[in-house]
Amino acid sequence: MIPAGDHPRHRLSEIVHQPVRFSILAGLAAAQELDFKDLRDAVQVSDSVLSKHLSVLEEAGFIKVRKYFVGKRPRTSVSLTTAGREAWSEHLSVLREIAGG
Amino acid sequence: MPATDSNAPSPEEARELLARAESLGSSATAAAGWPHIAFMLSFGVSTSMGTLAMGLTTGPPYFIAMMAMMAWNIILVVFMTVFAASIKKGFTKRWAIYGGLWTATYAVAILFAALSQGENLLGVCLSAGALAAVTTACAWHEARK
Repeated sequence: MIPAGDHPRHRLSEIVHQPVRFSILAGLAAAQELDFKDLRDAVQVSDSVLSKHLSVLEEAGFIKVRKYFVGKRPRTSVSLTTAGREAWSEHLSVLREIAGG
Repeated sequence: MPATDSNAPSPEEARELLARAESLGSSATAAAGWPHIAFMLSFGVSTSMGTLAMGLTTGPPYFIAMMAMMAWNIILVVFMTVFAASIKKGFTKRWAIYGGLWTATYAVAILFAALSQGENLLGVCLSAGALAAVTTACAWHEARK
């Protein structure tokens, strides 16, 4: 029997586990870099909700937000940092442990 | 900050989350590769047809063919820069290999085209074919990623 404190759920990060942020990280993990609009369409949230959660992830050091211009049009792209990729990978391995029973 | 017990997933929920993560990863990058694939195919058309045209002509037509090819290449690069905003994982490494393969093939092709003076039909056709084959193979590989 696993002692209560050793259960894998204790290693799940609240920052990653929140549903919208989980979706954002799942999308970013498959990409080198994603455009804000492509990410928004994949996660299916509004611009403001996506921005709010991106701020949380950026503050945690999990993502890097790059703002630039193509001609006169502003563009935002998002990518996972090394810490973000590690956190995502750890989160998935904990979920696999839980899924395994 | 660890997740609280109240929102910790059951084994069944954890399996659903893992499946969701995989599906989201695929859907987020599904459209991301197409501007790059279209670029690679078009670049193959432009450079192989350009090589063919340059190799089969001499004098002013040679330079007209070269200018037309360069103009198309610039258009293609501009389109890719503007419209290919999202990038699939591993893009930099894969495209460094594609670039290397294309450069090596093009160096041989342009040598044939420049030295042909409209006469080395076999060499020019083979090098244009090699460019088409390399770029198509790279685009095919990218499309399957």
